[in-house]
Amino acid sequence: MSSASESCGSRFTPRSRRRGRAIAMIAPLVASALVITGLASSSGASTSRESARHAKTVTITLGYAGGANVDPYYKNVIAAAEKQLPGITVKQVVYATYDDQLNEMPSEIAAGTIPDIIVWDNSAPVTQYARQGAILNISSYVKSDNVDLAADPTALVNAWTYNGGLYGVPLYLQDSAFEYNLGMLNAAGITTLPQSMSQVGTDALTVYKKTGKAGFTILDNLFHLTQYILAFGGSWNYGKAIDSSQNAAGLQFLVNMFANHSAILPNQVGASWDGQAFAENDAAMSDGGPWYIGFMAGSAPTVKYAMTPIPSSTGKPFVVTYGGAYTVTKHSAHPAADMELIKALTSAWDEKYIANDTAFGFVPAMTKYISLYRSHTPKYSAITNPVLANGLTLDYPPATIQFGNALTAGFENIILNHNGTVKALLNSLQAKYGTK
Amino acid sequence: MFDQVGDASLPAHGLGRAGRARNSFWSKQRRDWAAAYVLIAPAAALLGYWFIYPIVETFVLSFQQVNLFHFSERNYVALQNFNQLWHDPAFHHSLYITLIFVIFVVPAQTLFAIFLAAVLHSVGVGKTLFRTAFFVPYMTSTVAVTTVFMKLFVSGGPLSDLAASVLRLPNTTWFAEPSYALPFLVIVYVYMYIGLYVVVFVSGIEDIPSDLFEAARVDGAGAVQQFRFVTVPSLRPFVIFVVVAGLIQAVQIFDQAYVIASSGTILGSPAGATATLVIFIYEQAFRLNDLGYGSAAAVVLLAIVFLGTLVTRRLLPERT
Repeated sequence: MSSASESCGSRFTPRSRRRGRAIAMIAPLVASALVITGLASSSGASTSRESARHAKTVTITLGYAGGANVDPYYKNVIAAAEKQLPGITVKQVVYATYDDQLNEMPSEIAAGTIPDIIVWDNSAPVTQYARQGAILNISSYVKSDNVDLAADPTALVNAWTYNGGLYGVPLYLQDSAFEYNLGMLNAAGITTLPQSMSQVGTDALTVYKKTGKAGFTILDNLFHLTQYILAFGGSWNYGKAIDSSQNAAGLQFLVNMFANHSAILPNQVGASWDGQAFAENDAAMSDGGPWYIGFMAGSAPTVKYAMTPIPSSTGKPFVVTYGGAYTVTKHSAHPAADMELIKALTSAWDEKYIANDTAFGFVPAMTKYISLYRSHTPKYSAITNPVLANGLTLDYPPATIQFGNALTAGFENIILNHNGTVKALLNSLQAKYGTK
Repeated sequence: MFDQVGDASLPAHGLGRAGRARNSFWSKQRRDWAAAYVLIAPAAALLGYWFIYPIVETFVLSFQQVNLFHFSERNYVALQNFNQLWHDPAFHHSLYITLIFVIFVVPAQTLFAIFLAAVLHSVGVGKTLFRTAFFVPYMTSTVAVTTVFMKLFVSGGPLSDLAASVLRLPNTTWFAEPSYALPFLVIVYVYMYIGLYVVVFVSGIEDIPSDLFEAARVDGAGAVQQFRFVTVPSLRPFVIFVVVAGLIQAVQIFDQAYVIASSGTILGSPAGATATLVIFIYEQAFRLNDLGYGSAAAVVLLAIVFLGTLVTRRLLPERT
């Protein structure tokens, strides 16, 4: 040790020592300056980006779930919007599937890499994102930019409203519905469609007994399970009514169908979702929606099927009206520019495009184009404008993701392990996720 | 540069006091060390960034409450996450599922791999071809292999039919039934990893001196006896490696269970039958957005792997 310091001492001249000290003093200052300027440039990003916006050079990232049917739509409408807004360039972030998108979004929010704008639908836990500030309340921008929401069904706009704030500008409309595989029903001697949910149960059992195949299938997640609690007059009511008797009746109806073997989960026949089991003649009935139309046309064009509103226990059919929207995320540095782009992407031209591009597989959000869509797709004729206008909402509890996970796990435990009861499940969920 | 300031090969007496001091400081051994540290620095930095930092960060996160939506806002919660794990039935279930999985997978893949390696060693023609064939599943995408097996084990599929006719099991979709989903996972996993361990054991067998086999033959040992008394004892270090590596890998089973759930609804489907420990960690951290809780479970996993390795090494001493 001493020899080392001796060696160093002998190696450096007083001048070089002074220089060394000066460098030693300056180096931390330079490093600090670099860090501070780095932070400053980071924290000032929004200011500089907004300035850039004024200089017409904004790049906006837009995320959506891709696919052969949706990619051409987004490519064309984005090109049209960029032409309309010369200062805005759109960088597309395409998720492989919608599930991938929903799974990746939380991590992207944590990392600050989520796209500025995302396209998703409100069967996802939108209110949970809104409540936690992960997506922006765009009410003020919608007002200042004169985005015309009156053209959309009120139920759809309400579906994107949380605590009085708007969190998405509707792009397309979705609704739940009920699907009937007419070939399978006819093979079981059923020639008229069921008018109530109890008739659905009876017909499903008839199909099973006469053909050996399932009369009914359900993909057991929060969205699909919710259709049956609504069919029995129930609702989650944002967590206030999880353990209601109507909700219990809806789930018990499903449990009974699994118990008498008239119902299956899609994966029990090797299908990845209900539509696949339905198209491959493995199940005669399923809840679904307009997304069946494009899928059936492409995958099972020879299978005859019908689509109606969902039968209920009271006999009055219903649909859940919801839909996809453009949402601005919390990390966006230029929400004003985002809203300009969103306004361009939800214009009448874009909505008409959806109505005419049946391959896109969605119903336009603007009421005036829904009839046009219906004229192209007669399968959708039973879902009339009044049905959509009276559509129910999903009203998930606030901790949507956790609630959905627990509900599905508990439901699977009952139907597959024969462990537990519906009443006990709903009581425990009410205690854990309820807002009474 | 070092050569100019003082090479140990130069006579020290000609350098003066300062030169001798420099020479003493930059001795050959120190220069070698310095060079070695400089050379390993980039790799060490990357190792630190990619492996050490995440481990340390996981430890830190395990004592915090973190929401992915508000990642920068972290609250120190001491041992709360670990206390919650201790009382969480879902965590206990994931430990149980993982334990059962490991109990079946590690012995199965080790025994099958030794057996296949011995058979392969005795094969005269096409040894390389067979060795490659066994190794291919290991190199193939997990998603692809699992998806193919899902087609084979669907109700009415070839292997479901075979199991129904030979073993008189119900002709069902294995990965969708709680009683069969874990055995399905074991089969897919062993199929994928056995090739790797066959290659390890073949290398081990080829290292055994041939005179041992000759001596055994002279003493009248048949093929089975040679395997029992020469091959197996000589492979002991390889068995230790395979058991330890297999244990570490099996505890971390994730991909195959994830693929199974992709055709269901939630991770761990059906009804929690494939809810392994890493599935639990992933679900908590990235599906339910509770990163602190997921990290605490990851720390428990690390402890399990560490303890498992120690115990295995104790139970299987390298030398007899």
